[in-house]
Amino acid sequence: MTATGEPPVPDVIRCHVVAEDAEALRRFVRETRPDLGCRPVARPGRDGVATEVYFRQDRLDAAMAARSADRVTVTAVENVTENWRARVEEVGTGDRFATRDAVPHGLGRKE
Amino acid sequence: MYLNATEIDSAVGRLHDAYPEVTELLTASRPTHEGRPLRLLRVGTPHDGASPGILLLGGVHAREWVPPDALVSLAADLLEAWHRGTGLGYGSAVFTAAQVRSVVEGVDLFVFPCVNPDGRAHSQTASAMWRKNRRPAPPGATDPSCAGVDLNRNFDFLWDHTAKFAPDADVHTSDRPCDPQVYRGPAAASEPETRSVVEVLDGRPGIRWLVDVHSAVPVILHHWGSDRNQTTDPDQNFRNPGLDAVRGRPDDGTGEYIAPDDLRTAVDLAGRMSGAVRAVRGGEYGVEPSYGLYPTSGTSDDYAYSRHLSRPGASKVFGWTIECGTTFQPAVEEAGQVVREVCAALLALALAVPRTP
Repeated sequence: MTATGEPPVPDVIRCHVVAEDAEALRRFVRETRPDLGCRPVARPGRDGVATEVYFRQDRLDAAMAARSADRVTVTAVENVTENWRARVEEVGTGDRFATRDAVPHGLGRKE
Repeated sequence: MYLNATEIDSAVGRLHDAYPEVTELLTASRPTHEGRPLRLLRVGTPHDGASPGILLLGGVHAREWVPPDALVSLAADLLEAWHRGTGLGYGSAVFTAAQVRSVVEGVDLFVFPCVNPDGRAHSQTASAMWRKNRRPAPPGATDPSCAGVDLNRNFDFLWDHTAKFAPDADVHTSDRPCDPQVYRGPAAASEPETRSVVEVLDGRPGIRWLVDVHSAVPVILHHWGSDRNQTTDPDQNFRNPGLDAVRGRPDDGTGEYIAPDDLRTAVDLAGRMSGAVRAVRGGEYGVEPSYGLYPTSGTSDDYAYSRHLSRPGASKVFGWTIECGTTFQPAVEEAGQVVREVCAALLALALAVPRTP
């Protein structure tokens, strides 16, 4: 169980998907139902139409074996969950701006 | 270090404390489901309401960690630079002291850095890919995915996709509460976070521009997301029930009308933002209409722009979505670079919008 009492979720894998055309990409998405990220943006490229999607690890093999997968290329590019475990260490703890004199500063150069 | 949800709210308060003469702290009428306040900061010298307003949203999707940090950084930068009489630099993008003054004294920037603090807290402590808010799951539901609403599918723009789109349009939203990503909610604007954005638009008619900062592609999207844009047939529009059976299909000869001048304005200003991003470190944020692989409904940018068409007397509000960076949770060093890109883009927009509301 996780800290919140929820059952653990399998790792999530970010995948780069290239299809010969938008319709082939739609067919693959319709059959495999991945997480499409923030917005379903697809880009034309040298090898066809490409997008990024997210599959749970336990569903990735099935997606790659899907009937519609023969017209797409799926490449795993990042274990999102593993990355998150590292990033959580980079989240502030407590409240760095709790006191009245703790004024935030931005990343821009003042010049 | 990334800001946590508590720190974002405190940061907004501290900026107001430090620069009371050029800020105003606004609190939504209702807190989130978990009781967190929803607060935003207006940055701009006091005036009689004549300055054009830009509403900047961040953190609508919980797992996208960079946008709230970017908006806090932007507000802090502007206020400090204005106070000290300096310019601002982000990589190779440079803004002069006169330009900083022009923004702070000529534009109202409504900075709403974290629209979904409950979701952010959950994503930063328990669930890497959590996207929605934390609306409690329906009674009897045990799957953790059954909690939450996708706030960027909850706005009152073609919200009821089952009635307003072709059955085979595959709209990127869902009426199933247990959809882990894109549940639209039980009703349009059902969520306190959504209503907080609507409140600002209702209460501040000087707002003419909205940028909802998300991640990650990267790209700058302009309306519409419901269908392909077309500029020739005004009758093909989201208010036309005759299109409900066909809306959203790709390549079917129909599309959502946008006035040519408005399309030009949306693309031109997006181009200014894209150019500013490029100036930081050479990054390419392309400019595209929101309608991509699939249509969307209930999004903040389309809702903002649709208001002047569906509500008599409402101001015209151009809307964009910036999808910044390439990953949801980059390492902090890379996150800082993305923050600089977002800040440069938004400053470029603030400098480019007409000064007359």
